[in-house]
Amino acid sequence: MNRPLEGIKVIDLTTTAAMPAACLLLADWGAEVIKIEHPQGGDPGRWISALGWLPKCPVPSPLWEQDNENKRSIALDLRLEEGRQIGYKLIAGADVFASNLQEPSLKRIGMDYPSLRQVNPRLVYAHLTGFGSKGPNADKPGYDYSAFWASSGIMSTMGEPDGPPAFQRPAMGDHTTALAIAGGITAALLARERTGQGQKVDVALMATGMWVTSLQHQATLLSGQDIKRVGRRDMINPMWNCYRAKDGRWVQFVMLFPERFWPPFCKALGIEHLEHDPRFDTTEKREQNCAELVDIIDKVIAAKTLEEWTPLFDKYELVWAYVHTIKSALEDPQVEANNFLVDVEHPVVGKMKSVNSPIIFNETPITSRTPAPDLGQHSEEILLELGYSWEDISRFKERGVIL
Amino acid sequence: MRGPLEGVKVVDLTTWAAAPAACQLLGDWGADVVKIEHPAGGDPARGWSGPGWLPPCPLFPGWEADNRNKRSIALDLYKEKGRQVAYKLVKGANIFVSNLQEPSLKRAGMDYETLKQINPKIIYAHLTGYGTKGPSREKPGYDYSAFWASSGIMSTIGEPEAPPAFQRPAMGDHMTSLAFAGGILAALYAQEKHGIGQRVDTSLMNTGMWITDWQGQAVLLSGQDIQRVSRRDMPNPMFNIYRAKDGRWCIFTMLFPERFWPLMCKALGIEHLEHDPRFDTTEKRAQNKEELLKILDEVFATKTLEEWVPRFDENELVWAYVHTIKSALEDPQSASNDFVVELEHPTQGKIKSVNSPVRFSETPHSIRMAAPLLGQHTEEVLLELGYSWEEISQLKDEGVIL
Repeated sequence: MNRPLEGIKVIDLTTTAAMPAACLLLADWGAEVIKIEHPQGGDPGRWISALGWLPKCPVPSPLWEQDNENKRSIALDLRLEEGRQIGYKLIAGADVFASNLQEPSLKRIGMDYPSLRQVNPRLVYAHLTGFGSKGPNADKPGYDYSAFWASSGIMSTMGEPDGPPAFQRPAMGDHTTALAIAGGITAALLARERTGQGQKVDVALMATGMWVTSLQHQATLLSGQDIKRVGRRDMINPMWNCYRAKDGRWVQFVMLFPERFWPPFCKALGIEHLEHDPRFDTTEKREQNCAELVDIIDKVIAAKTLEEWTPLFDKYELVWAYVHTIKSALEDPQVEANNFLVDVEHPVVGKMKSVNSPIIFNETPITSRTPAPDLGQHSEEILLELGYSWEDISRFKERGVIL
Repeated sequence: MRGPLEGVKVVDLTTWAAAPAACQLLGDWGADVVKIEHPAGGDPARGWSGPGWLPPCPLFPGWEADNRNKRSIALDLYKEKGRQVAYKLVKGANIFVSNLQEPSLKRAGMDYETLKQINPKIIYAHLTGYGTKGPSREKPGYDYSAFWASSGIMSTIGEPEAPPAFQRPAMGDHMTSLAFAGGILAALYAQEKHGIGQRVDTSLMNTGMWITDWQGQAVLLSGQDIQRVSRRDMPNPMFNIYRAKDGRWCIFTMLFPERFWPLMCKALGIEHLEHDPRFDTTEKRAQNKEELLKILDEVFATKTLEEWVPRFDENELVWAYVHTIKSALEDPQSASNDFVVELEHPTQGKIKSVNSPVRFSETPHSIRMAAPLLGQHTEEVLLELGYSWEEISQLKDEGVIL
């Protein structure tokens, strides 16, 4: 027994990040994923270097590498009749079709839901939009910066109150949404086991953004009041805050039970004299005097490096974590102990590492991993599997149907 | 059908947000979710109001957001009889979900080895903060620490000179619950196809790293760390945020600067800058970004966002409101697409809640009931398991149930 979705075939007509990442998860879970790309350039994700946001890398797009491992690529022009027929042949033998192309584009190339349902009634047809399939913004292009982060309300709540709203990071909302899509597709596959029917699965970046911060939305729905940003000096519980050590590194405390943690917190920080200070000796008083207390703790934490603090935090069993940078997160001992990274053999750069799927299955583990494919790397192999001859293949090549 | 997972039974021994939200997704998708809670107080989320973070509410918003479509049984697992009731539930279930720490699960007799004996086909899903191995495996993990701070995300968010930005309550938890629900279902698929049960593990830290793995991949390939990015650093003025006269912000996400520069100039009424030698190519706009940002900030501040909107749309700019939570809920997209649903609360009457983010055309999901009161369904669930009213009152007398 191999991976949980062994035997499932996915046709991936996707671009950029969210949908490619959803198909990657299915691939990690054992599905066979064939990515259809246009012969001219393929998925634009191949070329997004995100300079300004990310350091320069030895491959054109680190993003492409991450989200397209474990997939095969067929370079196919779906706007040509012969290309479309190959597409339909792939769909006829598939379980899942996934796309984030906009509805009008999908109709133009005959890859809309009504058409593909005719080709394969058992197909699970997954579609991603920015803002939902209805309403005034149904056809508005949606990126995760806009549709997920800004439109859901998340962005307005992030950052210090006096600063601008904080940006997300490239593909962060996309990857979050990818998790919803992969779950939805798998639920539809399970339903198919019972009903024998495929169906359409729709996900929107905006809806997913609202769902992941639904605690905020629920509070607004219940109270009628909007949500405010919370600054460090507004934190009413000083044991739920971040502080900067002497070496410039930050630490995050998350102690939700202030009565229990105030004495060990004072001990760990060497501020025992404040434990019974009448300004700070109850949860309510710490709340009233929070800005004053944060200022005091800021000075205390700044007196030692984070390495000096660590044994003290642990000795008193504080609940805390390093505010890791991306690099220091990758170097955390938990990463190696739990295989949060995997090795991939890349055709150009050789051995490289990549972030592992976040789910571990004990009986059907994720085993191997292949790098993101070159454009059309598997065109011939896939066409041969579909029963086309070498003669057909060279004809398709001449006519520009495939690469 | 009440959703794609109709007929699937879930035993939910979870607290706070991430694992409860994963079970709620399964419930929204049609599964029957029975939540086991300790008779003394139940899930601590029932009493958490989000002080300092959220406005005062007539109900506890976290509890309501993550526990609809579940039935609650108040059951003391530390009593032998309580444990036997739980084993009976697990025997008839497909999925068991918990975020309790390994030692607590062992103490309550709810560890994988034990439950596997009781039901070899069970999908046993477990959430940790930092993974099941390594020095931090038993460290309590919240999403602020294990997901947001430990994955590296927090260090990259916010203006460079400001402190790292906090996430919002339960945000990393919910992101993780999406991974968790998907993983559970993949295992359930393997169970249906091949008849095998198994253990499914996820962690807040791994999920945080996966969500920002574009950053991680860039570091792994370049060896360089990731820096925070200020709005002052944005080399393409058409990928940035701006503040209008009324104080509201909007975001532009136009990734193809050549195509959009003339349109942006028209929309903003700065046609004179389109061919200005300081700004007329992508490279020059990047070189002179500070100067350009200053001009654009002044231009945006001359009109309210409502005055700007028709001009943005006329010129087909790619933009969005930086919604507040309230304005997001009031956006016409929310109503058109049912991003919000209405449900009947046992004490409050009608309340609204954020809908599940996935739509199924043939087996639509269903929102059937609000989050339950503690032990609201204890008797009903016990009757289904075959207990008599006599046994139920005896269990009550012994304090095994509420």
